[in-house]
Amino acid sequence: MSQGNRITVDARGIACPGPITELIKAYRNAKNGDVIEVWATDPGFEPDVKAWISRTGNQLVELRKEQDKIIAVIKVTAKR
Amino acid sequence: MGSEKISMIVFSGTDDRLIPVGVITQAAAALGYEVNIFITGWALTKVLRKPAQPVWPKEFEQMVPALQQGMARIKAPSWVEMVKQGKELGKVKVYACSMMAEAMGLKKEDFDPSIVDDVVGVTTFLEMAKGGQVLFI
Repeated sequence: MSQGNRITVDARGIACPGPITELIKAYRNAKNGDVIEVWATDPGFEPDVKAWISRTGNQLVELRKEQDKIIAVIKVTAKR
Repeated sequence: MGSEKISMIVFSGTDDRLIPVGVITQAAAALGYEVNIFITGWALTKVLRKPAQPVWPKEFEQMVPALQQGMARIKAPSWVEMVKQGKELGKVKVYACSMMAEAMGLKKEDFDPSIVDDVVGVTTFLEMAKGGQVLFI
């Protein structure tokens, strides 16, 4: 598979459902192989991104908490 | 993914209940749900070209300023902005209840056309909601 693009979504400081909305907006323009990295501060983002992954079947490469933000790294694999 | 559907009967006119209408609508639309909102009762006063001022339940009135500050701090959009965002993202339709509109003397042109798509009877709403989840708010 060819190397995809890396897209960063900065959703820090916006409340639910803003971060997931921003992720979905980026996802709509993405293609398989792309990597989307989302930064968020809303505490609901951590379970929500897991729920979105299980709903859509994309790949959660990394989900980690830093002091000031939650970072989710998603590999786009489920676009049809 | 596109076959899921959530419908809401929005009766309450207090802002504490309208906020979740906006949150659920925006998220559901982004996720690909079809969303149908049937506005009736006091909620009709909130979707007019000249909407009613914010209304909060008496028992929590003291807490309202703190809540409003908190909403500003987390940059939460208004519930109407969230519904409009939902419309941009997906399939969101907002209908005003014809019976309550008549009772309140409201005509179709009184409703904000950027929110309300049509004035319909409950039969239309029930047919649209059929087979999906329905919330009464």
